[in-house]
Amino acid sequence: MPAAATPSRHAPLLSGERLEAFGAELDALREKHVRDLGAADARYIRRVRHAVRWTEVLGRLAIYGAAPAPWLLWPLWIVGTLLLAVSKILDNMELGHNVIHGQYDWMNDPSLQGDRFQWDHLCPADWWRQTHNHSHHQWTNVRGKDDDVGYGLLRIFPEQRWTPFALAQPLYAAALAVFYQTGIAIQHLKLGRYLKGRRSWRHFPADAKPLLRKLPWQGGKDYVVFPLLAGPFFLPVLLANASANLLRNLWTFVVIFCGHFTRDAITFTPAQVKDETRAGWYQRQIRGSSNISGGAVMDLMTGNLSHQIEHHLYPDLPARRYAAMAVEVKAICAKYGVPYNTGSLPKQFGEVAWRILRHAFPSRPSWAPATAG
Amino acid sequence: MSFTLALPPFRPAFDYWRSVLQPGWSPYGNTARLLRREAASADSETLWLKPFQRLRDWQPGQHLSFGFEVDGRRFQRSFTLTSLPAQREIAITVRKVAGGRFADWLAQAERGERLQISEPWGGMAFELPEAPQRMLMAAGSGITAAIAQVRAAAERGQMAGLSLAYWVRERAEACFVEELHALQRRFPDFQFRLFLTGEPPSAAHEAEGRLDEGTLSALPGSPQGAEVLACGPTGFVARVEALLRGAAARIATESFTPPVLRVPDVPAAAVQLTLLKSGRTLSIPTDTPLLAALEAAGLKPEHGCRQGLCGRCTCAKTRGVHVDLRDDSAHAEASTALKLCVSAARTDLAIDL
Repeated sequence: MPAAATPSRHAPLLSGERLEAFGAELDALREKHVRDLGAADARYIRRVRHAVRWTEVLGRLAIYGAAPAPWLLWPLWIVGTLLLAVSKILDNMELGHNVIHGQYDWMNDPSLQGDRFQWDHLCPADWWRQTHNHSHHQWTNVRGKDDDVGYGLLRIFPEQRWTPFALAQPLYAAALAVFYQTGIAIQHLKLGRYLKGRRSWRHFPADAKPLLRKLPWQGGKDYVVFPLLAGPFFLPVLLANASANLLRNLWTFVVIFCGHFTRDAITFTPAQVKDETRAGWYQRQIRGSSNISGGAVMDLMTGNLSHQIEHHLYPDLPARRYAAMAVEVKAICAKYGVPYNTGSLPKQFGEVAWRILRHAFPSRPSWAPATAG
Repeated sequence: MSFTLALPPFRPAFDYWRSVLQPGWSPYGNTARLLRREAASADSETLWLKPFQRLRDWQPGQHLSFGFEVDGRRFQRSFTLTSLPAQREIAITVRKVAGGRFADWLAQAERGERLQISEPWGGMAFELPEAPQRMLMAAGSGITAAIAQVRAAAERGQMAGLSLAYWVRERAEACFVEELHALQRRFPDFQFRLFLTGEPPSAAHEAEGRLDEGTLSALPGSPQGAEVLACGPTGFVARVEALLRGAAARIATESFTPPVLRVPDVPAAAVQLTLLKSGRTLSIPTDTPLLAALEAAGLKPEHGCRQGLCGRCTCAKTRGVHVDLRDDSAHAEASTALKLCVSAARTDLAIDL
């Protein structure tokens, strides 16, 4: 745990031979797990898929069961809504996010291949492969390169430029949490380009085509087709589906914001990463990410983003391995004096909330990480 | 960015529930269920399978590709169908190669287990009805293609002028010998001889020696004006063609090269990279990532991070051995995905680009 006197974000960055030795140990850990991939990983991800499908059907059945008399059967309605939310969370996080990363490509199972997987999320999987897998994972916490740093909407770090627009950012953050699915889906479009006149609106229909094609399916499913199946009890079903989507949005927002915006997470300038080696990339992933402590249930429900550090070091290895890898990553970090940022969900999210509030107002970076040999 | 690959959003759920409600249905083609296994020789087994959808429009001697899973990984191997098109069930006879993937699968396969199957493909057939002799020549696993022809001919009662020469090392390895003797008794016109290369002959139907000038005279049936179908290892079918080219009216061959299980220790300096979609072949060095090699050749494959993270350059490999440069692991299996930016060729490669 970082001492209160010197926040761990002030720890110097490794460089030179010591950095390369650090990277070599992390490479060795990767190799060890790559060699061990096998039936257990395959069984696990298929079980997750079973869970996604069955919780969805059970949830929807419970919602239909409660729909004719929601004033009486509201506990069933709540159970159904929660099950549906769990299904969506598992689908987006432990199944979709991880499969789309190509974590299970080695299985050669066409239904679990990263380059053609489709998920229960408004964001077209192809867009996600680009904004998330490429931009965010390669350029993690590099200002101006990683669009996930504040999503072009929030000022999370003092190094970001302050404008009066930031004053109301707690409201934007709340809105983003509620509509997180939509926020992620439109991230790829970079709407700022159009608003600032840097790209003509003429291009918009062509740019947005994949989203506009997916929107009717995705929206129509939860907000038209399934409610209509309930006939006269349309409304309680619609409300349950909307609630499940809302719960999924809020939960994924909380988990994902804890991943890179906690107090001790740091950002980098493009100049800092210009000649970055693989070891330097590893170091940046660790210094820019933070974990959520919890246990097996927390790991499952966050799609193992509770091990955001391990996920950023090894995004293409099955996430079920992160918990075991974390023990070794932590030990390697301790050996080289690299801060390893973890904490409970309330602690980590508290730090995120504070950042959003604090940097709504003008602020200046009070320090910059030094580089040590 | 290609958007054609992405499935419509309802497909994952639809595919899942359909395969739950209709076991054997698969969005990726036909499947077959393992019904029973019988020993076919000391090291071969015959598997009887029931396809989910009946195979249509196929000829005796055609092959089928099977997808199966060993330790979480899916592999693909092709075998010749030894059953006849009229049968609802299909059969293959496989040699259990030590260390082979399919042998590994068989070792743990239980009844009822499912495999992915392709459409029947390839195969040879007799095409000259007026030829005085129809000669089948098979070596090793090549017998599976020959037995399919023998069974088809027996079913139609057209065994006159048909002969089979079958090479194995030792008689314990030979498959279908009892059945072939029974056919000889039923159809005296049918000639069969088993050539042993690793032990002396001890029965009337047996002979000794590899196929060469000397053993030509021992062939059942005369190659003069004959139609010859030969199946076996590459070297064997090459010898058939060299020896019988002058005499035979027509020679059709099929050869198989065993899958590469051993990776060459020292890579060649340059190998051939075949791009299947664009139909190009390039000569590339083995010490350079494929992405860099393709770019050096003036191509612009889609890619992202160039460090094996984002998967945007992931591409299907259909043939050859590649090395993952991140951990120097070699991957010999055909039909696997590779990342162009962190993979180098170890042998000639064919990729889906």
